[in-house]
Amino acid sequence: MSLGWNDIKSRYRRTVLGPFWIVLNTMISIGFLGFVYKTIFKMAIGDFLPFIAAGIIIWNLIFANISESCLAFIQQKYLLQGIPIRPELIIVRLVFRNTIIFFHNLIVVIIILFIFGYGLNLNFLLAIPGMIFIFILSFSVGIILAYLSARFRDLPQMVSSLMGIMFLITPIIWPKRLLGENQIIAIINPFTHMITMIREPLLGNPVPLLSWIVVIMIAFMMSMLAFVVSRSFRYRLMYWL
Amino acid sequence: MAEIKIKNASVHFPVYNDSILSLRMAFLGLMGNKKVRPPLKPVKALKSINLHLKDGDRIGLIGLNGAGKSTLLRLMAGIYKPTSGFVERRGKVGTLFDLYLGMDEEAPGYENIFIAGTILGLSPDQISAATNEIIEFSELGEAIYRPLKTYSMGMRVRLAFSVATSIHSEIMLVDEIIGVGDIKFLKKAGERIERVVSDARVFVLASHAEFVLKDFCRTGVVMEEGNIIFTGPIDEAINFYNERNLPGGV
Repeated sequence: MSLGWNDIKSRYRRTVLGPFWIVLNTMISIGFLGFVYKTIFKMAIGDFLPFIAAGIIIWNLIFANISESCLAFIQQKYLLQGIPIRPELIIVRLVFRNTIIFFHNLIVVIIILFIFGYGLNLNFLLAIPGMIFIFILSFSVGIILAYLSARFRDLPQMVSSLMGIMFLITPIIWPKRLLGENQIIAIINPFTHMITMIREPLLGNPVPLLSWIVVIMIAFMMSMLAFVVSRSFRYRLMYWL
Repeated sequence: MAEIKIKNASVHFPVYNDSILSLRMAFLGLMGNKKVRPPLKPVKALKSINLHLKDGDRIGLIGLNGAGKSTLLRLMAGIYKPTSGFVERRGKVGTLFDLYLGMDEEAPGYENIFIAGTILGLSPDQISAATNEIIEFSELGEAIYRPLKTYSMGMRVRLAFSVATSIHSEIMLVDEIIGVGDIKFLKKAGERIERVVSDARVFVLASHAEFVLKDFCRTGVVMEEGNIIFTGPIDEAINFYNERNLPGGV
């Protein structure tokens, strides 16, 4: 929705650098991580930085969608009570806004890829279906969380601490192989597959079949659930706010 | 043709206190924990309302605070669904319930026209087509380039009102707010509502201001504690309301 664009504009209205803050934030955090890995863990960042950079921006997209959705209806209470609109549009707006931010950040990652000599190959295009599934997934999970959070006000807190844990146990800033024999921890974690879906194509690799299957299945289940949730609670939502 | 039929519609709000909204309490409740406080009694905001609005109706809702005017308007708009009974609605609904319309404090007025217009369901083309007219009507002049947060209450009302009434709705529902505009704007607003209403639409206004009600409405509906207690010509309705609440005159 065009309102997503407007949100970006308004967020940076009174800042000097404007939208470059989005990019700069990402660059700073990726830069520091690279520095830490290089000096403390003595890793060759050439192999590693593109991996981390891609992981972080995808995680940021998923994280922002999920955590903002939890508060979406609660914060937009007056809008929902004032105008007969479909509550789901609020979720569309925020997912759209975060996707625009993601594309800003993608520029940083592409620059890093070039600096470290990764060429773009055809696998890069596989990131597009990956993006589409993340979009569907964010939208569905966002709707479910937004409704449930309006009813159960503990949920946003629960989700945010859960997401903190997920960031640590998902192979985002560390590679899966470090798990050694405990690969299963990453494999049963759906976030691993969501990250993989987009990261591998960006790095020029094909996406493992397992990740395709997991993400498509979850996206399908969640969109069904979101449909049921929004159908059954659309009108009750107004009494919860 | 625009029409709203309300039959035996009641709206009961469940009152969620902290413990009911909490997941932990819901869980403990399921486990049969006796300490969980019982839910508070629902608030009966509307009790078996019957109302039939047709083309050309100009209704003024009158009642004390908490009588159910705003709830009834939201019921008409389809924001609330009745907890019992039913509401049938035909025609495109426009609302002017608060001055918020999703507007952004930091954004200048003209951008807020875009935001509010989009939220109200206009396409970008429709908004650009209407923008000049909205700026002109709201009489904001140069102020349209200033951020919304620098606006006075009256300026906000003029902007919100101008946007909301630039949309061609068959059913227009307005709550309280127009009383805030100054006398000059009210006169203009009146002309605009005349025009909006003359397109054979349904117009419902909740207000405490007698002169606003008399100017814009033909029929008065007096509400008390969630019931409609009087329906009739606007002057009689206002008299009825005043007698009932201020016996012996003002």
